[in-house]
Amino acid sequence: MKASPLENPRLFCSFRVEGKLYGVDILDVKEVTTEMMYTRIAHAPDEVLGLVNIRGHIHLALDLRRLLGLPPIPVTGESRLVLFKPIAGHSFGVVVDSISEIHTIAPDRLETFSLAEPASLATQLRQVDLISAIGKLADELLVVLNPRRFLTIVEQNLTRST
Amino acid sequence: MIEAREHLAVVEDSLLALEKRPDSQDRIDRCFRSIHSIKGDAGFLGLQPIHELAHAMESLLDQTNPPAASSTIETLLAARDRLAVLVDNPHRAQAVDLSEILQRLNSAAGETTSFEIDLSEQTGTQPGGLLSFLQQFLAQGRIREGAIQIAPCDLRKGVPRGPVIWTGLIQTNTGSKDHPSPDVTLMGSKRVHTEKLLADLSVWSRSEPNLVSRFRDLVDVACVTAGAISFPSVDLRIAIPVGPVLWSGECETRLSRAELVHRFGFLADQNGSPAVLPLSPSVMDPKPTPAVTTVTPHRRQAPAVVAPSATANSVPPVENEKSTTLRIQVELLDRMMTLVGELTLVRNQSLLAFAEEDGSRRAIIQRLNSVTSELQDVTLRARMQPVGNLFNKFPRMVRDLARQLGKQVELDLQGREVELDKTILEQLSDPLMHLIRNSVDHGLEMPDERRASGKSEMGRIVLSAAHEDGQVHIQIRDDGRGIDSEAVKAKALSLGLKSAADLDRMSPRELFSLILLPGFSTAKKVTEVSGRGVGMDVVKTNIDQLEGTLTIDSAVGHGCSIALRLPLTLAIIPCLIVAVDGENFAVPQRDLEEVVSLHPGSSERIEQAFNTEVYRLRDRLLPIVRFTEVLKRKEPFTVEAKAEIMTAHADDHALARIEYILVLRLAGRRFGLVVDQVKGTQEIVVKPMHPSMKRVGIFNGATIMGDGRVALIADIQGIVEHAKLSFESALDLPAKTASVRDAAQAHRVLLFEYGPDERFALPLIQIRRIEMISHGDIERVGGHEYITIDGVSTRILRLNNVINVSAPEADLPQMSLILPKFVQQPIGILVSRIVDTESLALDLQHHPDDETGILGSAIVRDRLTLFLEMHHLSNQLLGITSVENTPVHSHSQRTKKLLLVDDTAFFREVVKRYLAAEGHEVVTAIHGQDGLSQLSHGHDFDLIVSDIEMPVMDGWEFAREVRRRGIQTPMLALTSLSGIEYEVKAKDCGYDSYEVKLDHDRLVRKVGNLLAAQEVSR
Repeated sequence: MKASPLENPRLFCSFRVEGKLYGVDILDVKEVTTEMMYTRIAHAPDEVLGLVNIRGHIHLALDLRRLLGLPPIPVTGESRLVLFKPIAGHSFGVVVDSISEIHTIAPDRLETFSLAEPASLATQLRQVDLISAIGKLADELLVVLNPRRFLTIVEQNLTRST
Repeated sequence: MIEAREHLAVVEDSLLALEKRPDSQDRIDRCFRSIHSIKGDAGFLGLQPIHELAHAMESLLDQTNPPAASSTIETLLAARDRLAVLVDNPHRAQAVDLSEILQRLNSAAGETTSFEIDLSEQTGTQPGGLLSFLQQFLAQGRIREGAIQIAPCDLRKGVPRGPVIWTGLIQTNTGSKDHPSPDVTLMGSKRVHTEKLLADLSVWSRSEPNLVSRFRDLVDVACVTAGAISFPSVDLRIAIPVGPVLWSGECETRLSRAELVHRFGFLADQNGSPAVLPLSPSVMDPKPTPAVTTVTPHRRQAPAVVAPSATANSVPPVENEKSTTLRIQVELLDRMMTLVGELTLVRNQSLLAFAEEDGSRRAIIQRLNSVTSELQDVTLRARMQPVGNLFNKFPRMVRDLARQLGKQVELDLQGREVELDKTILEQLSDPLMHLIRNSVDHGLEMPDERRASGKSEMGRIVLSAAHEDGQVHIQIRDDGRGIDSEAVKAKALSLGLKSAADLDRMSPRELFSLILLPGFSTAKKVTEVSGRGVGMDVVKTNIDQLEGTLTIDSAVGHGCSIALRLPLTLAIIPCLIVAVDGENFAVPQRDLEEVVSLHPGSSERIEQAFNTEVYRLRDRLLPIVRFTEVLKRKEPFTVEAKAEIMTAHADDHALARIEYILVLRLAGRRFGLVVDQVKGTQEIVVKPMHPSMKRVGIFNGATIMGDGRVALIADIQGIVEHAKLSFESALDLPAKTASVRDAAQAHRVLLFEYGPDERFALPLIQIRRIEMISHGDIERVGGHEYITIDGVSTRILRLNNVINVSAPEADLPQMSLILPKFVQQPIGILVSRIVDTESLALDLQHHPDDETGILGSAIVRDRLTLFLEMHHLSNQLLGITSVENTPVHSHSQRTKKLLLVDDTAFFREVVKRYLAAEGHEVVTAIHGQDGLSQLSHGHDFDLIVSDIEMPVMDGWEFAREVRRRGIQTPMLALTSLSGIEYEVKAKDCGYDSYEVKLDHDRLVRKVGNLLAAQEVSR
């Protein structure tokens, strides 16, 4: 997937998972909340943490660690739920280890993602699917995720298991 | 605008009621009041045409009392319709020509006159006092709707000194409007008239009585029909204007102008809208200023005083009626629901925040608690609407239609209070309207026709609604000519839908359901109203969309009844909240029959039978599913999983804690769902499952609980499917109620052993259940062995006695007993070991010994397995020989040729044997396509027996194709699918009969009957 060839710099809501910096386009983000009262859905894939009530609306909470193929950790005080707008998918969000700041990245600092590290094939495919670009910040790299793929992956896993 | 429409609906309703019961004062009042309100609002908004029309209607209603003449009602209805048009397009109303309707209204005004007399004046002026005045007055005509009004004062202190106004309507004997009873006016009656008034509010507000009480007094004596405030243009944000604030308005009053001006200090300007104020905003300015709004609430009540026909005690019911018809946008309701949910959450948080020691606050929180709960409850119910809202539009429709067609029709509405979800109600409107139209147009006869057939001229249609079994039943019944089944047949024939033979075999209901097909109408002539052959199919489609059903019953000459059954697929459903593994779940109560709690120490417990846990509920075995196991296991239960569960709970004899069994009902069968805790019932708001999670079959939605957490709603059917619960193997219930989920079981066999040498197989479909018995319980009577199962003496079948197989050296202390289905007497096959169940999809080898009790053999799990033929075994044991069975076809000389289509080798073999034993020639095919090629090879069959679930081409398509090719051979569906819906579908596809696998006697009888019918029709 290529970064969109916008002239203007893009804003990214960034967060950390396993110490690494990830981000999503801020236009896709609805809100960030501390709500962590999930109701587990039996039979749902591992990536699904459960259903959460955000002011009377039920959202599906996904575990970003699981989506990225990382081992799960218990929720901490730093954990946040990043909720997405309907354009990214029907009422859902991902839980991240901690929230970071908002980064402005010029289009020329964004680079299409290519496989750099050797990993298992399944994980590789999944990551390619999720990652849309790499943003080059002054001191570290920001992995730009494509939230529109999140639910698709969950659905695929659910189909596979049933 | 919305309010005006509601008023118009009231007007229509009242007028229609008046037509039937002309003396209903209540109706007149309501009608009058509504028109008056419209008029008042129109006046306020400056909508002159509406005002004018409403005024004319009001006058007519006022003057002709009661408006008995149907022509008057007709005129009023016509006027109402015009008014409705105007209300819908208020701003184009100016252009509408109302002269014709106004003319009609004016000319319809009748011979009654209203009067208002101050009785306190009459006592003095007339000789003989009040009594003689009244006698004199009464001689003039008939008085109706008399009322006495007294200025508000304390009657305990004596008769008031002020005017005592007697209002009413007098119907003069002359009966002609050329004589408007001048005597009445002579005798002091004052008519209501309109006065234009002007007042300086700045003066009013400074003097006594103050502004508010002046207006209050004004509306007591007059009905303000228009009002506007004008003042020099100033910036209201800075200050209230200093100069004159002029209120100009119109009042209807019986007081004279001079009196009004004097009493209230109105400005003595004749025009009411002076040219003095060039800067004044338009008199039509619809935005009332605060000063005016104090008037507005009173304006509505004003008619009670002004309207001569109104009686004081009729006010409260009308007010009530108003409050029941509030309109809220659904979106708003949904938002309210969400907000109430949030409020609940806040409440719960505050409950936690203020601990018990805080006594004073706790009281407040508790009130917040109860108010919130109530608010939630009320909001939940707000979505429901009485069907009356829908039904109420039909009387007018029926009336108009009846007039148009020259019929007399009475529409009786029943069960108006039955509540339905708003969305369902809306979608029901069109189909219902169509059905009622049909009843009026086709169903009911012309008056002379009705008279000739000894009925009353007045046709009757009953539209009723009722709640039943969690469904809403709506019925449209008429006492008309009914549907002529012969006409339906003729039409079906002419359209080539069915053959004559098919039609003869159809039940009346099936026949009538034909009229639901597109292009089907038995009406003799096409009318403007209906009968163009479109519609009933649309009705059917609409009802189908609501997941409802439609059935037609009819008796020629006596009428027709159409019954709709609609599910209450509501957004809010009552649920039982249960907890499993610490999580809450909602179980819909419509699936719930009862809850059984097992206490530690009690003798009742869950037992194990074969591969299923069961509970003895009042001596019937209830298969058990443990919710926790369902939640734990992602994969649908396998045999291994079931075994694991059985092992895990094998030692549960002594319960550690209370166990709850929810007895749930599913498609006529019951099972028990074990949960940890029952938390009570609650009406929950169903939120659809997240679309990405739809594939999780055991839940079908979610809801937000009082504590703000999400709870999942259990899908009972999904759970049963997941648990692969087999009712057949554990339940003693008639096969007729078997459901589709058991179809999978139908194609499995039970593997078991008796003697040391052989392994046997029997299809699960032929097994009622398996019982564990101990050797000591077997009794011997006259060389036969019996055992008592469920209080029934059951004959024991030892396989070595009926077929040539080995016997065990000795009985084990514990043995299994297979109780087969479809046997003439209770028998049980003694088994030393149950091996497992296995799929049936294998080829049968002919058994070398050529035993009739053995169908064949196959290698199953590396062992030669003998497939038993149950029917023959039982006959052999009970000493019945097939020769004794009188062949049903005995009257026929020719051997019948049958085509048997079934994909399962086992069933093909069994059924073939059954039928061959009856002397038929049986040709087999392995699926629908194969069957078709047999048919096309020129074979002529007398009967086709076909399975439904088959590869390549299933039984549905096979039958359709057979019929499409014009082959009229009778067809019998023989399947493991059972349920009325399948039977109906089978009929639709072209099957003549339906039989559930696999009862030998029933099958043979059915085949015999079909062949006999075939013989007769030839």
